[in-house]
Amino acid sequence: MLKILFKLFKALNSEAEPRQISLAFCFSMIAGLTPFLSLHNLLVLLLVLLLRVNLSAFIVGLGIFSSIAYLIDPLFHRIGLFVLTVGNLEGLWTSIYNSTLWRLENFNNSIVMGSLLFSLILFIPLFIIMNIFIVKYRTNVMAWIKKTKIAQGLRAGRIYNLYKAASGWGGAS
Amino acid sequence: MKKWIRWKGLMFFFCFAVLFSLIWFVFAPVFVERMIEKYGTDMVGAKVELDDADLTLSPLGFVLKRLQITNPDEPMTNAVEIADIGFSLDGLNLLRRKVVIDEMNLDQAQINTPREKSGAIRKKPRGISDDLKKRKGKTLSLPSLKIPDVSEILEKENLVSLELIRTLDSDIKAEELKWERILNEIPDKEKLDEHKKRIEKIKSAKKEGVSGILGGVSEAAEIKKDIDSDLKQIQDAHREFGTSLASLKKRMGEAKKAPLEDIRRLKAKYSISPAGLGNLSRLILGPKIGEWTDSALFWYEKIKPALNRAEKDKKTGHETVKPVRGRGINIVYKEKSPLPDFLIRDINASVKLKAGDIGGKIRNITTDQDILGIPLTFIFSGDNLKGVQSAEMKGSLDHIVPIKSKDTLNMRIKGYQLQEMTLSDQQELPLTLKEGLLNLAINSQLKGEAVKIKTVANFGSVKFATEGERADSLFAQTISSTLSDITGFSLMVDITGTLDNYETDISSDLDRIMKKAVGNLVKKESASLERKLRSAVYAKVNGPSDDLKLNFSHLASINNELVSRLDLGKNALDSFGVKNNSKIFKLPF
Repeated sequence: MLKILFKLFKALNSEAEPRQISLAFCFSMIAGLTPFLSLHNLLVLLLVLLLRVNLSAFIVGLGIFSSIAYLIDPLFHRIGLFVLTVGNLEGLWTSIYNSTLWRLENFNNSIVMGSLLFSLILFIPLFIIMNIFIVKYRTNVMAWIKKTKIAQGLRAGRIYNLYKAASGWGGAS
Repeated sequence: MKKWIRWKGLMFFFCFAVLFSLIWFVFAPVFVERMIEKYGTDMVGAKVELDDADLTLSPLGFVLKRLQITNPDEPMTNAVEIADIGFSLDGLNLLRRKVVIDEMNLDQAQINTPREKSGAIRKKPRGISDDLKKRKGKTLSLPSLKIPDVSEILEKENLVSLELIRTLDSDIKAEELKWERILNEIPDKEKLDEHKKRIEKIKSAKKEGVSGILGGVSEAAEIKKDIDSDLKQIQDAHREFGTSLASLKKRMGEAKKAPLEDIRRLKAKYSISPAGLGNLSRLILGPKIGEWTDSALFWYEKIKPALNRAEKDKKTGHETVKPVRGRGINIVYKEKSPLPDFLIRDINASVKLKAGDIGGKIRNITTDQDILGIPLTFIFSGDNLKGVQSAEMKGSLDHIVPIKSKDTLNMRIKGYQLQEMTLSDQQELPLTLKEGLLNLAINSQLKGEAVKIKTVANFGSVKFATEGERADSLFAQTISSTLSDITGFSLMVDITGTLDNYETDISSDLDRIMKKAVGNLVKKESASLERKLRSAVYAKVNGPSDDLKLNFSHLASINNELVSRLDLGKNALDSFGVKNNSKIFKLPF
């Protein structure tokens, strides 16, 4: 896990496209907030592997969002229940309920629907925020950290050696 | 574009998918095996075991090897053991989370096979024996054919009459003491005489002039008040005594009748009742029929929850599930072609019995009959079996509308050769049906909770084996010789009531024959027992009973004393000139 964290920091600090890291975070949000063994997560996995997004960012994000999900499951349940029972959409849900693919997706479960909707709505805002954050981080925070005495001291220490060793595995692979 | 696509990732994804499928292929049978064992064990209350489960891909299905379902009442016996179960699954519906099996084959199903290891689980299941215990109060036993000695009877039996007499005697004594104390407290003869003397004194006062007369008037009023008060005390006590006496008299009457009640009770318990022998078939076959009925109802109750899932889960239209993480609610929408979550359309079964193989078909097994709209039906039949000419069992379980459920089971057995069937193992009259030929017809119906089972059994070429000829009792000898002459009889069993509380009515022409054969003998023996009991019971009761009468007579003297004081009080009042409680005070001049 430590190595993955270092890889994430390396990606953040490297010349890798901020969008590749942001997209990985956004995908990890969907996979982490929604029940993991859902059909849509197979698509997320395919996209994560097919698109050149940062895998370390995806794994770290998955850990973070999965932990958060446990706390906000009741909110997902309420959102899902509301959406699935709202009168105007009943026709839509009934027609897709009769589709095998959607039944396999278990869309009619309140938590699946609530968490998926929640993460899809936040997908683009998170992508934009993450992009801005990475750019700001690189231009301001990174430069400032490098100048601090702690960072200079650490660069001479064991952890920095590990970080260096990790840097040989490539950034946004 | 090239910058954004990672072709190696796609390859990795496919490798992952293949690996996942392989893992599923390897572990799915193990998962299915564990599921069957876990849920089966929970449902039956004893171990359900499966030797092996294999997954087949084309067509998609499973082959299960050696399914053993333990009899919860006999952990070393399998209620059912099936050598091979093969079925194919509807793959498309499986993706929709519906287990639909078009055809299932059960090969070599056997019942009551021995187990190598006990199939009991730690938690004691509710078995058939529990039901039997619950209904034990209803079972009857063959009346004793040996009348015990009267002294033996009285040694082990408590006489209610004796208890009653002793209790009453002690109550009478307590009452006597109580009233002796009260007699001391209420005005006695001496006090009442004193009132008289005071009156006489006033009467003599008129001779002393006007002042004497005026003083006498106020004193006379005083005396009258005292007499009234004393008289009231005596009257109250007399009234209370009268109530106590009446209650004790009533109890005396009961105590007098009590020995007769004891005699009647002991006679009923120890003599052979002609009515009991008149329903011998019930006494002999009742427990066995009860056992079979309980066993059938036990297994029915095990199956019933699965048939009534619809009633249980679908009241709100929502089905609660436990998703991967947390809990959620699955909203159910209208399906275009509704299908149950679990359905086996056809089961072809071959059952291996000692008598030979019988074949059967079960149709439409589902947990959601309300969705399918078709009841479960089954039929099993076999011809030319070993010891049975033909056997057929068919029925249906209709729970389409759960509150109007209707289940039927009809059974026909022709030419069943009976051998060595123990009917009674009571010491006084061991009874075995050595051989015979049985034709049996059972029509049963369960509507909601109401059970109705009608059974007609015709026994032919029967030969009873009894050891009653060697018994000491004349009854046992008579019954034995009567049974040995019987070659055929019929038996009718009607069971009506509810699943928890049903009545069994058994009748047979055997009853008439038995009643005729031993009826007179029974009457004679019963009369003799009654005579002996009467003399023995009265011999025990007479002494305490005489004491009781004596103590009761003591109460009469208390009554006499109260009456005498009451008279004295009234006399004192009369000497005032007050008669018949007229309250007219006549001045003493």
